[in-house]
Amino acid sequence: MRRWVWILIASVVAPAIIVVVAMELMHQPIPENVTEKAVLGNTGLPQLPKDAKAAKKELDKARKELDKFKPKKPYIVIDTHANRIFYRTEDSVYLEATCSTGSGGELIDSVTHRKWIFNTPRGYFTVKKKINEPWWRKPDWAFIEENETIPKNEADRYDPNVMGEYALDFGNGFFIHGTIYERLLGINVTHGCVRVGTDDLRQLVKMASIGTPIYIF
Amino acid sequence: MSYYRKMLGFALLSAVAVSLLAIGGCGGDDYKAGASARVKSAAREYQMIEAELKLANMVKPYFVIDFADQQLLIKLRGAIVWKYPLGLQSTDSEEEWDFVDRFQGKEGQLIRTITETHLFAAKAKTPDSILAIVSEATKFKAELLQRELPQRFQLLWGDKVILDIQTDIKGTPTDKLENTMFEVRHAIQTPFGKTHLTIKMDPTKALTLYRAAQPGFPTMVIPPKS
Repeated sequence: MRRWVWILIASVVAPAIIVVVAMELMHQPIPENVTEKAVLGNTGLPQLPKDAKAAKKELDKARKELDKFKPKKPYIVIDTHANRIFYRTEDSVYLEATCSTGSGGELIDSVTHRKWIFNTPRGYFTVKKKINEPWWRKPDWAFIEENETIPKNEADRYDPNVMGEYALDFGNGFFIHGTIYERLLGINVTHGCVRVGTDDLRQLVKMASIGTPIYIF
Repeated sequence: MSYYRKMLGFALLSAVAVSLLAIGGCGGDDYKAGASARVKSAAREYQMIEAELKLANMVKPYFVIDFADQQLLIKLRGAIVWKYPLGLQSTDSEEEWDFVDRFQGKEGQLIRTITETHLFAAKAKTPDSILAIVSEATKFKAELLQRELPQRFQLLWGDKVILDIQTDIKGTPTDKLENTMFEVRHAIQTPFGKTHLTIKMDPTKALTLYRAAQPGFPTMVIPPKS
C-alpha cells in the first residue's frame, strides 16, 4: 500500500510541482518602475465638493480643461508602428496614406565616437514651415554612413533631388517630405524624417497649414 | 341624510388628499433617488476627467477602452490618434461590467498600466528576402525593419484583466512551448470562469496596438452606459 503512495507521489505530484516551479521561474515579474503608481504617482480618486454649486463649478472647470487639449481643427497623425500617416479630426479621416518612419538604427563614428539613433521623434509637434522644392542639407552622419569625408564647404552638403516636391518642417531638423524611393514606403527605413508618396504629399500639403498639430506615436 | 352626505364628502376628500400625499411622497423618493444618481454620475465623470487630464499632460500615448461608445482608442495629449470599433465577440454587457470591475478593483482605480503582453502567433509584414535587399541598400539591420502582423495577442493588466486580440491572419506561433506555458500559467491562476474579453481586429490596426501597448502603457476604461 505504502509503495503505491510513493509511486503516486513520484509520478504525479512531483512532476506537477516541478512544472509549477519552472513556470514561476520562467515568468518574468513586472519591474516595479512600470507599475501605474510609478508612472502616475498617487492615482487616488479625486472628489467633488459636497456643496452642489461648488461641485458643478469644479466639474465645468475640469471639462473645460480637458476640452483645451482636444484639437479644434484637423490634425496630422503619424503611426510609426504601422507606417501610416493621417490627416483627420476626431470623427473623420480626410487622408490616410502609407509613409516611412525612422528605423531605430544606430550609427557610431569610428573616429570621433559620435553616436546617432535614427528614430522619428514621438509626441506633439506643429507644422513650422511649408517648403516648396526642398533641398536636403546633409548632416555629418550622411557622409559618415557612406564612408565619405565630411565636406568643409557648406555648399557641398546640399542635395536637391531626394526630398520630393514639398516638405513640412516640424522642428529640430525633422520633416514630412517626399521621396524618390517610393517602393520602400511602409518600411521603417528613414533616419527620422517621415517620407510620403508624391500624390499623398501633394494632398497633405494642400490641406495642412502652418500651426497644424502633428501627433506622432 | 345631509349629515351622511357631509360625512361621505369628507371621507372622499380625505381619501383624495391621502392619495395625493402618497403620490407626492413617492415622487419625492424618485426625486431623491434621481438627485443621488446625478450626484454619483457627476462625481464619476469628474474622476474620469481628472484621470484623463493626468494622462493628457504626460504627452505620451495612452489607451482607452470605451465600453460606453464601444470603441478602442489610443490618445495623445487628449487627441485621438488611433481608433477601432470594440467589436467584442460576445455582446454580453455583464462581461463588460465584469471587466470594468476587475480593472477598477477594490480601490476603484481609473488608470492602470499594462503589465504584460503575449504574442501567440504572427506573420512577417514584409518578406525577409525583400528586407535583405532593403537592408543592404539602407545599411539598417533587416530585423530592425521587420514588422509582425499579429494573428493573436493578449494585453494584461494584472488581477485577471486580459484583452485577447485576434485577427484573420494565418501566422506562425512565436514559441509553441512558451504559448502553452503561458496558457497553463493563466489557467492555474484563474481556474474559475472566463477572465478575458476577445476582440476581432484588422491586422494592420492590430499591429499598431500590439507595438504601442507595451508594458507600462497607461490605460483607462470607460464603463458601459447603464
